[in-house]
Amino acid sequence: MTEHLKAFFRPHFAVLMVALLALPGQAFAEGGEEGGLPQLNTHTYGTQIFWGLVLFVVLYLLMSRVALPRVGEVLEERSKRITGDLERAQQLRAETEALVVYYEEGLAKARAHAGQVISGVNHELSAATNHRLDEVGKALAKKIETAEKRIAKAQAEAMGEVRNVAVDVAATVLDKLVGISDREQVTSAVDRVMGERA
Amino acid sequence: MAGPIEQFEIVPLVKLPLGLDYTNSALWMTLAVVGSFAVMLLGMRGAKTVPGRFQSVSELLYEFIAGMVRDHAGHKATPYFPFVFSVFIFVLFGNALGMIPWAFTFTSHIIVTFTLAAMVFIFVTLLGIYKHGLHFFSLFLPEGAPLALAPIIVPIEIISYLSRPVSLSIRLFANMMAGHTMMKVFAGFSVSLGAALGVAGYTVGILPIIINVGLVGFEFLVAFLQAYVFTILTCLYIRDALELH
Repeated sequence: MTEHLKAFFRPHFAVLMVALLALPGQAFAEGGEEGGLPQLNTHTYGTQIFWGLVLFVVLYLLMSRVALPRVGEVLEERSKRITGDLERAQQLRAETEALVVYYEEGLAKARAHAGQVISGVNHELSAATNHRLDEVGKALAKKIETAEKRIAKAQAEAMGEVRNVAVDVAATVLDKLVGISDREQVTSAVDRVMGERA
Repeated sequence: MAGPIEQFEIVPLVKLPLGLDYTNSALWMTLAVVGSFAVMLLGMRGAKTVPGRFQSVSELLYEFIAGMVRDHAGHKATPYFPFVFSVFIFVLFGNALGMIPWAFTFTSHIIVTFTLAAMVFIFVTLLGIYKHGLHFFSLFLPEGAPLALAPIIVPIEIISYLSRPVSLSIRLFANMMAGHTMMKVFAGFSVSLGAALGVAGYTVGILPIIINVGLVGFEFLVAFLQAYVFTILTCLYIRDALELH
């Protein structure tokens, strides 16, 4: 980079060279007293070297003893604080992650427990339902049985009644028409007919 | 009208014996010391973890040079950071204060820049001898160079080593002097045009002023850049002394 810059500043050097070529004759001819390039006046060298060194040493002492340590301290404190904060953040993050794991474990346990409870309740409920259905079925079957018995009985009674009526009607008809009043014979005839029909 | 060279005149302000007068040059050196110290301290007054504007300035300067020392002089050079920093801030303030109108630019004097360069040179040489003893002089024979070539290489290396303070001081002084002379020449050109040609001259005289505006900006760049170059070379010399190539 400095090479480029050097080339870049060549105009400066050109001007300088002109100044140096134009003026030194005078400067040296007059013993560097007046009129020449002030930079070549050797009479001023003593004071410039002296004050340059003295003031540089003063500057060095001020900087190395007072100013730089103060800045360095602040910078160090900042970098310490930043690393401290980063560490704390890391730690908090680790804690958070542990908490998340703990929470998820708890959640999984709770879910499993809830599943168990639900399946238990389902089981109980279906058992109870089946039991009730069983009971109701049995009760209904009993009622149906008694009802069927009653119906059969009523049917039998009704059939008996019909036979008696038929025997009575037949006997009366026979009696009136032909004067036969043999109840035994009529009854057996009716029974025979009813047996054929049934 | 003052000539372009008059700005470099050394004027005694307080007469002292042995020719050690307190001059305008010394005054501006004092201002550079006080100014740079003030800049560094002002920002650090009630320093906070989150820096304000002034604090940022001092921290930026600090970290700029600390980084330069780390990158170009190596980790072993940390103890010499205050020295490098002082060199940088002294040259930077010398150059920058010189941009104030009517100010004196003490870095435009070869004897000042040579004193600084010689100081760096002596410091670096003593540092090398202190760290490596006589082995330090192996710096003049690069490793791997055939011994037969030593009679040629060693004198060349010695000359290049000795020319360090010369190039260091002339680079800075020449840049500052040439730049300031050029600004003055262009400014003086406007005035001369006006004096010679009247109204027409003043009208045309705007041109050198426009150029001068550019030059002033350019000079600010040079002021910083030359301080930077001076410092970075100091860092490289320190690295050479510490590591011997």
